Formats: sequence, C-alpha cells, structure tokens
Amino acid sequence: MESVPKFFNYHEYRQFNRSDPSKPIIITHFPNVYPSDATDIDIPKEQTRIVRIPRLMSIDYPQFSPDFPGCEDAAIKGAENGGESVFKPEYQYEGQWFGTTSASPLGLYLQKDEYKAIVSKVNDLLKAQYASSFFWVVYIILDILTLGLLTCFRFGKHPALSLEEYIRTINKNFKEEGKLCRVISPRLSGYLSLDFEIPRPERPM
Amino acid sequence: MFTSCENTGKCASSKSENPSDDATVSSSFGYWRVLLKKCSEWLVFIPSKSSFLPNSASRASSDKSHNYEFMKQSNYIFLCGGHLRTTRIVRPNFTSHGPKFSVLPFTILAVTFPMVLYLVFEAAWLWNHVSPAVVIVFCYCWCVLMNCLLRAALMDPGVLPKNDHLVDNVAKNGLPEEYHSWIQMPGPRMVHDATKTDAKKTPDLVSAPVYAKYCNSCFIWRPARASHCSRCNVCIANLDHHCPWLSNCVGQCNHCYFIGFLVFACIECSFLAASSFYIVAIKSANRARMSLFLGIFACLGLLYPLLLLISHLLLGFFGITTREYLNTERHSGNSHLKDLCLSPFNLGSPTTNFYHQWFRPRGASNFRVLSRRTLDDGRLDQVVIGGLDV
Repeated sequence: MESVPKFFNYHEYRQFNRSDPSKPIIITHFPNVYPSDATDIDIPKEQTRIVRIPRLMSIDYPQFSPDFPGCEDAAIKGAENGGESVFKPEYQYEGQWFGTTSASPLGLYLQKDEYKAIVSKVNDLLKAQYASSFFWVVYIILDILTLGLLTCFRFGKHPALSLEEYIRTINKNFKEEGKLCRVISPRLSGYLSLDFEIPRPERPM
Repeated sequence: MFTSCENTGKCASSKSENPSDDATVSSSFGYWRVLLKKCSEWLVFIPSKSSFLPNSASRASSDKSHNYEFMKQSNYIFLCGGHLRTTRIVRPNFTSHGPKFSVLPFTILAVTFPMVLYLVFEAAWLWNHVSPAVVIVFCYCWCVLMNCLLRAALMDPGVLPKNDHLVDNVAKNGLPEEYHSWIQMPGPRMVHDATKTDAKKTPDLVSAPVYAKYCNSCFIWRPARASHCSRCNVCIANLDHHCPWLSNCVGQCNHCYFIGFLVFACIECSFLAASSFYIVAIKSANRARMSLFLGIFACLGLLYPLLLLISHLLLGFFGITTREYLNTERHSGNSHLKDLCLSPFNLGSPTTNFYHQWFRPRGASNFRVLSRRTLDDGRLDQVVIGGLDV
C-alpha cells in the first residue's frame, strides 16, 4: 500500500562530506541569482545567500510552506536540543558553510513566529490575488466579448501591488531593526519559491 | 562624382569638392540605417539569434534593454517590442515529424479567407434581403474569434522564469542526485488514507500525492501542473498542451482565450453554414455556387474545432489537462475513465473542475519580459553543465 507522503523542503539536498563521511552535508542555502537591486541589503551580492521556502503543491494559487525551514515533517533534525534544529556551520562545500541537519541559517535572523507571520500574510495576499468569484467569471466573458477593451479599464489597485507593498514594508522594518535579512519579492521568483536573502554564513570564530 | 580607378590605381566610391559633405551624407545614411535596424528589431526580435550576451556589459549598461532581449534559451520570436510573441520552428536532428514552418499564418488565413468570401459574395444580399443585423452579428463574432485567436497565439501563456533554483557551481558539479528524481508531495485533493485498514473506523482524510520534478533545462522546481515545453524550451504554468495551430502553448494565462477561440470558431462555422445554405435554398445551387462552396467549407471547418471543444469540455469536467490525458497509461474498458477520476487534481465535482480549469484567475505574469534587465541578473544567464550549453 502507498504511504501518505510527508512534506519536505525539496530545495535542500545532501552532499558527500569528505571530512566525515558518516555525516553528509545538508545544503540549506543557495546562490543569489537575483539582481543586486532586488533588495536594499547593505552587503555586496557576492556575500549573500538565498534561503528558499518551498511552494506547496496547490493548483489554485501559489502558497508557500508555513513550516519554518528545518521543521518540516520530513526534515532531517538533529539529535541534540530535543530535536529542535539549530543551524551550525560545521563543514565547507564550494566555499560555503553548511550543517548536517535541515536547520536553515534563516533561524539566525528570524524567529519562528516572525517567519510564520510573514509567510501567512504572503499566502493570504496571494490567495486574495487569485481569488475567484462569480464576478471574475463575468469579467472573463465580458473581456472576450469586448475584444479585450475591458482590461484597459481597471477599478481599484491591482492585487499584485498589495503583495509588493507588504514585501517593501517588511524589508523596511528589517532595515530599521538592523536585521541583515530581506525578503525577495515573489514576483521576481515567478512565485516559484519565497526567497530570503541573508548574509553568507560564516563559521563562528 | 566618381574618380577613375585607372588613374589613381585605387577606387574611390565618391569624391566631392567638400569633404565635410561626405561626412554628412555618410552620417545621415548611418543614422537612417541605425533607425531602420532599431525599427526592425522592435518589430521582430529573435533572442536566440541575436548577438547580445546575457552578461554583456556593453549592452546592458548602455542601452535600456529588456529581459526579452536576453531570453536566448527560449525559442520565442518577440514582436512589437516584446509585447507579443510566437514560437520559431526549431527541429532537432533526431526528429523527423512536425511542421517545418509556423502554422499560425495559415490558421489566420483559414479564419480570414471565409470572412472575405462572405463579405464579397453574401453580405450584400443578406443585408438587403434578410436583415443588416445578420451581417453585423457575423462580423462581430468574427472579430471576437480573431481577437481570441491572436491573444491565445501571441500572448504569454504563463512562462516561468529560469535559473531560479540554481545550485552552487552547477557547471562543474552538475545537479545533485536528488534533483534528478521525481518526488512525491501532498497534493490539494483529500482522499481516505489507504494505509489504514481498520474496518471499524472511517479512514482519515489525507492529501492525495502529487509528483513534482526539477526541470534541468530551466533549473527550477516546477510547481504542480507546470511542464516544460520542448518546442518553446520554457516551462509553462498549468500547461495544457502546445498548440501547433497557434504556434504557442496553452497554459495558465491564455487558456480562456483558447477556449473562446474554439467556441467562436464553432459559432462562426455554424453561422456561415446556416446563412450560406439559406442563400442556396432561396436562390438555387446554380445561382449561388460560392454560397454552396462556403456552406460546405463551413460544415467541414466546423468538425475539427467542435471535436476539440467537446474534448476540452470533457477534460475540464474531469479536472485533467490535455497533457495529463495523453500521458496517462492507456487501459482497456472503463479503467481508463477510472484513472481520470482518480486524478489528484479532480476536485470531485464536474462544475468545480470546469470552473477551475477555465475560469480561474490568471494572476500576475510569472516573468516580466518587458522589465529592464540589470547586468547582475542571473536569471537570464546561459548555464553550462559540464560544457554542454543548455
């Protein structure tokens, strides 16, 4: 019988650890492919990394995982600390520091409840952006019947702008609080993942 | 004035008494040449054939270039400054099937040709002997049909960005092993937990699994129902199928226009057949040969869009896309229909499936081709894995 699948962060993967083959390195942060003006972080782009929050397999609208990275059902958790994963940069791979659990370096800059509030709000705004209703059915039909002229007239703000404004507000709050963490606009990632830009993790001295 | 090559030993294209006039002529000629080049590039731009390099400082920093000018990996042709697009025909060496040229002009011709014949041979008679409203309604339906055709064919179908989910040093190390496999994730549909065998207790509701895959051409984890189109060489959100008649994919953003095109094609063919055979009945076949031709043409032309429309209706009721249907294993008898019903995206109700398939909001575009490109934007870089350009 097929077992029920558990959700996990499909972005992360394992790498062979030459220093200790019994402890594979878990890659939990990734190169920054976005332009440097995507956020106002005061660090050169080469010294930043991206933490990717996976997208849920919903079909109606994009939704991102509300689980803190490293705390998903099928995440690789450490034995110590009561199973609560804390990011510990122990081994190096391709010039970057990683740990041996699914714990993400995002935990160094963001608390779990802050993260959950941000993701919940983003998910709510996306749900509103893709909100379907009888009015939308009428709009599509009228759009076709008016040869597309209806799209020239928009009443009210585009729903996507609400999300952009929220992201700007969050990043502004981060800057005021002195947090070196920024949210990349989901529009830039094509709503494929919710990305957080953080400084490159370094091994503590 | 031209000098002779015999006396000077070398040819001069022109020589005038005032050298500054030469500079003026050549500069104005160069200006017009540059202007003509820019106009032609604005009208038709093929990124894969352009000489712009994604990391070229000279291009990105000097001009106000757009993202679409650097989509070299895609097979798109961008028209009118990137506002419209169509697919160029690229046939890999290992395939021998498929059209050698874009079919879209022929589709447009097939839609326009009967309309022209109708206006020339039937419109006047119908206007005078039946009602002007008949002609007006027919022309209006044709305009809607053409509008749906052009929007379905030339609009963004829901292209997903590339390189969003790159890994470290992919050129040297390639992709990790986990990125080569299909993964199973909880899906949107709730089913009874098949692993619970307790007959006394009702099984819990759990999410039906959905399979996801990493696209090693676009370097992204594809969301549910997204798929890579090998003809366009991009991933499309909610891809239904690649339509050769439109030379474009039918996906999240243009599905409703594709359906509108099929609906109005059927309406137009029916309308044309009815009016043509009415004229034939009034006048006689000998005196209305063109109407007879149009009537038969309309009847034959009705078959294909009608069959397509019915098939898309049925697929919509089951909540399954054309691509998923074609990929489903073929079973004999009713088990094939059972597979359709068990689709993880089947929400249980035909009307709900129908609504979600055709009338779901499109949302904002996933990748803005008209945005200004910055030099350090890695999403349009051409990624090389092990020396193979992808």
